[in-house]
Amino acid sequence: MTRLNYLKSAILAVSVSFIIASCDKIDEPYVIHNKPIDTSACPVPEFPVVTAHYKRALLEDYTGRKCVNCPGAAITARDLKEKYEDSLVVMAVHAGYFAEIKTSEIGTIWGYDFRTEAGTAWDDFFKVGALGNPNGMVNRKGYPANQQVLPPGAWANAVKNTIAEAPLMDLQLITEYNAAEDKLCIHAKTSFLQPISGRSLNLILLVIEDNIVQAQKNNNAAIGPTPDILDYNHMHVMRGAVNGTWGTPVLLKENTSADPVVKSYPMKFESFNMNTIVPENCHVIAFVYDVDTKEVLQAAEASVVE
Amino acid sequence: MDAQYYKVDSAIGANGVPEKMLMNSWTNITYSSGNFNAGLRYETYLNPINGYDPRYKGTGIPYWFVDYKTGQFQVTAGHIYEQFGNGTIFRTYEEHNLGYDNSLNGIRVKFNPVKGIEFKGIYGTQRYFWDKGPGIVRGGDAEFNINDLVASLEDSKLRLQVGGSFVSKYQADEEIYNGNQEKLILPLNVAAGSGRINIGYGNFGLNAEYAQKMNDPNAMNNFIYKKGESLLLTASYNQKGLGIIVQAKRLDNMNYKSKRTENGSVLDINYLPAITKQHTYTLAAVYPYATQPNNEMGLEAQVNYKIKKNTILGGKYGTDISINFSGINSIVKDRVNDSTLLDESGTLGYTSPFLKIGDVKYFRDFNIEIGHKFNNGFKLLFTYVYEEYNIDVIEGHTGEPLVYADIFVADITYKITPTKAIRLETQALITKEDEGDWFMGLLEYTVAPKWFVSVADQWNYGNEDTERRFHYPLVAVAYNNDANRIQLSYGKQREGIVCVGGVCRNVPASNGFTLSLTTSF
Repeated sequence: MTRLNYLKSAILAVSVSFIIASCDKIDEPYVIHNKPIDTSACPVPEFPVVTAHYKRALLEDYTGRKCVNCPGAAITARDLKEKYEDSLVVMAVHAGYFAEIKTSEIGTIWGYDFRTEAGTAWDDFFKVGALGNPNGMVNRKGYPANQQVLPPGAWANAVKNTIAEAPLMDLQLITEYNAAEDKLCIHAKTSFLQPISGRSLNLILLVIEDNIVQAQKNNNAAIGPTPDILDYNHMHVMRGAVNGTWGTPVLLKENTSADPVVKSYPMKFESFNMNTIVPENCHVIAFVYDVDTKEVLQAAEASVVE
Repeated sequence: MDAQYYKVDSAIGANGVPEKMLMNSWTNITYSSGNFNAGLRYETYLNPINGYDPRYKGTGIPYWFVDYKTGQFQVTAGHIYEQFGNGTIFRTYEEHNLGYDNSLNGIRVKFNPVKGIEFKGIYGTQRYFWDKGPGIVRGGDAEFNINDLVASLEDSKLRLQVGGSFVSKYQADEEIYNGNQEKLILPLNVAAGSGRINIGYGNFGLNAEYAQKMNDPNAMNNFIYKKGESLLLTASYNQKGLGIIVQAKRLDNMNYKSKRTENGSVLDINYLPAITKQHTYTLAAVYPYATQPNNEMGLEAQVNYKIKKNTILGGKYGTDISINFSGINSIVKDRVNDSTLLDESGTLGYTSPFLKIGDVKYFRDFNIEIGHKFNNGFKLLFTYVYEEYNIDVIEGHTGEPLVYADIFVADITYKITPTKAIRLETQALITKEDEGDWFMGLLEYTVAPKWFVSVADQWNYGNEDTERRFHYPLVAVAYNNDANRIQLSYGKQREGIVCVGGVCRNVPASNGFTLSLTTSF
């Protein structure tokens, strides 16, 4: 065999290798929709009839344990929650630079991590941390005009104005927790108070935990020791999204809202890497938002253990 | 062996360790006899030095191999380091300065049927600290040296090499949801292929490699299904006293690991080289570029020129000038459709026009180095570097602004006697961003070939926070004897990033003793 013939046969061999090279080409859809829900394990309860509808505001406080000004912002959020009670839903989203954990911190008082996939994705998308912490959003208003990020000083006014708006829809939330099985059933009902068309709306469900005592940086002696509060009581910590970072649809553009929609989700804390969570300290937060404008139309909150 | 004794220094962020001292050590043993080679590496991390992944903790033999060559065949069993082409679809290597080792545990066969043709085949699993990764990696590479194969080209000025590779990884199915409601349909086998050409003509050279990777939803790309692509182009020209090299690169979704859910610097199947200059002076290396395997487009150009001896600028010994520029941006990402977010899990993710450069600036580096020997004992090296560094993208410091830095380095060596030399390095880094301005001075005394002593200090004199204008003094002494070297240093080390070939590791701040021992026999 001449060298040239070797070359030809080698090229042929390599080409054949390419053809048989193991590869699984996946075509759309890339996902299996609607994982069957065991509704028998989570029977849908009767939702109470609501006669008075009002709009609840969602305040997202983007924070991090290394952010020295964040304890002050958390107090602003706490004061607003005390003032508006059920009309305001608050969550602390730990994301971005000040929430990062370094390898060298593992095993130290800073070796805890409150970041979540959803929180990081929102922080990246809405560019909250990009403007520094503490900062937040009220009903995610102002997107995409880049007006969505609000400093703590602007939260009170934004919450007041949002609550004063007439609601387009209502959102009810019922939770049922079975400690023996570590099973939480979440039921959310959306009722449209007027026809909505041409808008896609998604529902997001989140688990929030209160009273987690961990270290926090601080520069305000009026709040606690500086520079570190070793036993800081973290409130409203967003621990994870139950139905994905961007939620699941309750209304699609091509449809007009009519009948109420009930969505039920069974979950186990363990399966959400939430096995360090104390269910008694947890709440579920639900909110419905416009997929295009990202504006939150309605929010609700319910304790995991009554 | 590297050992470090830690003192707590909360001001600079240096944490103490309960063990007081940490140690990493590597021992390579190789045996050769004729066509037979064997080797092993014994590693001890008790416990891993800060900045190395704590999962390395332990002691053992993570690397061994036996290799036999007979005629046209060479067979290696055990742990394998190998590279296909530039490595864009397959490269396994070890770099203990980075705590990096992705060796392939399996088998490799090389076959050279005739001069000018080489086939390689590999099959195995990759190292995952003290364990193996869950994926199986297999692949083949063929390289043809056309000058050896075509008789009429044997003595030609034109030199031509072509090659091609394919790699496929297999990982069993697993349940991954993009929300609680949507389970991803995962490809169990993910293939990648590449083609390359190397052309030389006289003083000119051109190397090009294009690679493509099939749908590979993984944690690094947020589980999207788009194909990956990479293109590397290198053109060069060399003649006596002048060297020019121009490189271009485009990477799109090319992170390729043998574990889907892995997001650390482990289990990489491929290697995507950086086309930025790797600076060696301390302050010039403060902002090193780390390759962004999923999203970057860049260009690098370097000219090396030697001004001739016995000219006004060249003096008695000539003057070396090296000018280098590199610029890296993002690629353009367009939404697949109106209802899909960019990079949304469980979708194609995005589309990207191949030749369009993205708006996000990652890195700029313009630098010039001038080296001149004035006489037999006196040498000066001057370096100026201008950098723009996207600390948000490269180091993940979300929201921090682009760093603009000017760096000046003067390196003066004076030979007192043929064996004794004194060297002075002065460096300044000037920036308004990040930690502000730095100054560094280093004085080094060498008694060749055995002794070396140095005293250095880095001073963050321009930190906006006046209480953080720290000094980082460091004293080091080293002793060489034949192939043995022992170095002891004491002082403070600032937090920073160490990069080798675009792969980086964060080094935390520390204060204390460091002992480094290298010996071979």
